[in-house]
Amino acid sequence: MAYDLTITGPARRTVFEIKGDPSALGSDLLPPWPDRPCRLTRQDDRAFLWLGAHRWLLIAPPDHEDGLDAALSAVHHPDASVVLLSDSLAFFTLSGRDADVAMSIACPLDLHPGAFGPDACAQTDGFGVRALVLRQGDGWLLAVEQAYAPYIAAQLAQIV
Amino acid sequence: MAPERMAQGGRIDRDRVLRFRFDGRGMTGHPGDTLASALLANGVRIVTRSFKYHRPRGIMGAGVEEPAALAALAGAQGQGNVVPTTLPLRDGLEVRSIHGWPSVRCDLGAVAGLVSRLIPAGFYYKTFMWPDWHLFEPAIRKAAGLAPVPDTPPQGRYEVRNAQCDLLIVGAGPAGLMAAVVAARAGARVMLADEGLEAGGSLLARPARIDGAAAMNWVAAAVAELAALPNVTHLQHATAWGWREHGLVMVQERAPDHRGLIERGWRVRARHVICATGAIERMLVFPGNDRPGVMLASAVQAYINRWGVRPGRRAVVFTNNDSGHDVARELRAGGVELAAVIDSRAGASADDLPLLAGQVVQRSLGWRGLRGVEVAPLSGGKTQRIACDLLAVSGGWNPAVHLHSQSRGTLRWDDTIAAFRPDRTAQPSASVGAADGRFGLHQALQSGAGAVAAHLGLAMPDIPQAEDAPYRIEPLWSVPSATGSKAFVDLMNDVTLDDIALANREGYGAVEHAKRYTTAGMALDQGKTGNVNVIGILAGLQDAAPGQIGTTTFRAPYTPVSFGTIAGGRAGPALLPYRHTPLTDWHIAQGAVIYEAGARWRRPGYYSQPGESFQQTIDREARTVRQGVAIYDGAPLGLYAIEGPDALRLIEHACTARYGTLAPGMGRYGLMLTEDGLIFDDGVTFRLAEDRFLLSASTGNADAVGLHLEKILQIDRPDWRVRVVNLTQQWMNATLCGPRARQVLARLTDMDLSTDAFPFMGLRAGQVAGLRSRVARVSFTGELSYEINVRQRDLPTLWDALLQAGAQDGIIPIGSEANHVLRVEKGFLSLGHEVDGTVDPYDLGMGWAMAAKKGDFIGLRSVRLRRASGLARRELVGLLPEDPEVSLPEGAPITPGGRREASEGLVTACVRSVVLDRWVGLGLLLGGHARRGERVQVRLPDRTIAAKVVAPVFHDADGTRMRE
Repeated sequence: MAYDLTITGPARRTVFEIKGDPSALGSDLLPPWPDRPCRLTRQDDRAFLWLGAHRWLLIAPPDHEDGLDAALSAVHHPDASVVLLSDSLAFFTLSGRDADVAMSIACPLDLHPGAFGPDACAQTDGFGVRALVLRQGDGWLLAVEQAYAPYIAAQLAQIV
Repeated sequence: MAPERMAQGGRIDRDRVLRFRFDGRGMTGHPGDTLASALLANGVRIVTRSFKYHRPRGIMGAGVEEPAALAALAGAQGQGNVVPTTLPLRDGLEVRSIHGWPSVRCDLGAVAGLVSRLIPAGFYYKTFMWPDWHLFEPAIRKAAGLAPVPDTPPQGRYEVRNAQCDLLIVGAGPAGLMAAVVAARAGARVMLADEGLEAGGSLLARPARIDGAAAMNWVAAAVAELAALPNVTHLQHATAWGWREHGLVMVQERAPDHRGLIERGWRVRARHVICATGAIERMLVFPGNDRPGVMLASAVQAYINRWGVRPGRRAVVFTNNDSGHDVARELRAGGVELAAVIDSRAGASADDLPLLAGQVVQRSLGWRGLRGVEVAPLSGGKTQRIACDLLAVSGGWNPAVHLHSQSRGTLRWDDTIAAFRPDRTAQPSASVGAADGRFGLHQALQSGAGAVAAHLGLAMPDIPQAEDAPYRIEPLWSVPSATGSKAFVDLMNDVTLDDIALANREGYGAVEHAKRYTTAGMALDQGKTGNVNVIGILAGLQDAAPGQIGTTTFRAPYTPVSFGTIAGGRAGPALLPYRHTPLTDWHIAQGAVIYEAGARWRRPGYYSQPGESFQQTIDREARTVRQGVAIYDGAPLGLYAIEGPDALRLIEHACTARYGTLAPGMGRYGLMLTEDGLIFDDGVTFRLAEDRFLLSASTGNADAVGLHLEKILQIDRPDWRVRVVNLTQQWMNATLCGPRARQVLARLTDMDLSTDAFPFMGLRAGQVAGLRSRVARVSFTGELSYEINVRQRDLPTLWDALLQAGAQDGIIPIGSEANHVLRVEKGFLSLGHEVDGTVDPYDLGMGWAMAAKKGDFIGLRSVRLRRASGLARRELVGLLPEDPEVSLPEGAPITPGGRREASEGLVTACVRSVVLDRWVGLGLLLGGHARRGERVQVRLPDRTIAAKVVAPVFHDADGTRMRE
């Protein structure tokens, strides 16, 4: 028996890291705020993740980069930083009936639907390196430092 | 049909035949057999020779407790030291006996038994120390070896999964199944892991009844119910082999149903653990208790009832407890002639059995197999011989407390069962059934359900009807005749009663010491059948109770675990989490030798050309930088954006230099110190605007620098208004270096590259090769250099453009080896070489990097305290070997006069200089700054090398070339 699993990636997405106080950015640029850490909101193909203390991530499709960059780079606020990090992360998608199984191999976090719902996100461990995990459709989005992309691809290839 | 297979019975599929070979002999078995049951069914008595004395050994157990028999598998799934009692029989299995030459039936190594008096426990510690243990070690290891490692790795792969659950239940016997059913019905996330080939535990091996029907009917119903529930994960043939902190339990699944998967490891995080691990029967200690034909009574019971195998034709049962009587009855029911039941308890009675109460087996009789036993009253008296080919032995039952103990739970001795049982728990857990010393079937069901109900806050559910068989025991740690004979307490390691007594006499009477002295309880079986006997024997020798002796520490693994099950997918290209730059594939395609160069980054070491030696390659690359132009993949260089009103405050707090005077667009070199004033990292910090900076960090320390800065902000200075963002993988640089760097770069940019417009330590933004870029004029080589930073996605484009633009100037790529040469020639510090965690800035002659006109910063106080002490320090010096063609090994000690005494320093680096055409080195030398001109000696194991102490810079001492 083989796993029913489809993997795509590594791919680049538009990513901005927001540090400090995101209210300084104005509400029209971002999806609604997540109500607590390790949660995300989605709007117009964009996801807004609250990762930790004073740290948020905006993830959008690749073709959103120029528009968002133009809008967000103009923001200069003493208590908020917006930094383009699209090149820093490599994204993998895992889908198929056994996507959860593959994630259980990749990640020690409890990803059971009761513990990690559709609006959950976490910066955690993926195959031993720091990874960002969130659900996407019926599957998963796994993002790592782009430098680790070949290593993660090799790990995922073994599962398939 | 195999000769010892009973005509009916057993949980095997008699309609299908599996063919296998043992030592070249063709044999048959059936699905449901283990290798052990199939070997016994085929009349095989000797499976291996023992570890030390080469005594013939057969199968004694029926599961993980097997203390004697090991085998090796050949072929594609080759494996050494397989425990036959836990290996499911497969068609085509090629099995070999081990540790016998020329064969296990006729083993020349058995001569060791003739000189056994000369080789007691620990003999090699006493007799092979002179002149050198290593002289004898190979021969001793060969004589005492086990199966060799297979020639080829196993075919297939391994996998490790993570899992989480509310309840992990270990063991699918009656207690574990009952617990699982109750928990699953309540909706808890349940994981059930059982080491057996099928669920049922002890019920598989005995004709018990539950609710008036065969107990296995109840087992089948429970398993089916669990399989239908989505909140249950049920693993069979899966052993929970280790329990670590925070509820982490490791499970080895031995036969996962997945293509190409050999084994699967599970790392289970459980909120609560139920230990339903059952109990393990003890061996009795009497002379010849290892002879093939001597078996654990519970194993005999299992082979008859579960596998339909007759382990012997005429049997004697030797017991000190009631469970042996049941086995005797089942032997008789299975068609085995029952010669006698020897019960050491004087008050034992059983009208239906040929019982000899108050008697013990004095010794077994036979050569390669059991022919009979010699029996005598325990209190002494006339002996009698009883012919038999099977001796079923029961020394009582030990609760399998291993997991409970691994979790740091405590144990207590219970006289009523003469065994250790769980006492206090250290992690959320409970032990149930036989694992808690409740050996009755109804007790097991009740305790399993009760533990779950108590944990989940449920009402006690209805318990199926079952009977508790009586269990009375009088411990018997050894028979009177055991002293001075081969009465084994640990069969795996050939440890005898006399060895334990010797350890006690020589002062190793503490149970942990006795274990190390004798090796009792070590190796594959971890003493499952013998450890408590060792404790009982020590108690007798020391006139103490077993509870006062205590147990050794139970450690993982409970059963042998393959490395693959632990490593999972970490093999081949996924062995280690290496980082790759966007140019790694290009480097490899150019023939670069790639290796890790800090923080898991794989970087080019050097680019060999056909016909070049290693040194010629390094010389060519380094010389090109000194005379022409080269590029270096600087992608891994650490880079952080620091922004906010307190950005300057943070940088000046973390670094040694002063940055407040920096104009935007300029940078300054500085050091980062630890709290104890030692160099942690170095780098250049650029000012982009009043409140915005870029801080660079060394490749190897980039992650640590980020954590250091975050620690300051999140813990030490949370009130500071400043943010740190890691840009290391957003912006990556290609470094253009060499005297012709400016003219190459000028072909790709319209930036003004003149020294006036773009001075040394300047940072400019603009377009290079049509790419958005930031160019920094810094130098790690001592030559004119530009670090051209672009987005990660653009680095390959930039790289190609630079190679094309520099082609007419002979541009080449260089690797880390040439980089090292260039740094050493300049006397630039390198992490891991000169910066080894012991030096402060003054030691390296870098006191200038300690800004005098700013406030406090991390490490300043410690540096001042150290300086105030006036104690001599190891200081950075240059080293010129007297023979210019001789290199100084990096790390080699410098000793006074080259004598064999405490070192006064060490060589930190040595390279062949392309500017001086000779070997040059750097070193840390006690009081080195004041010793220039001295002659020192580098001490090697076989010689010394003389070197002259000089200033630690060999090229362009005033730095003109990188500034011009």
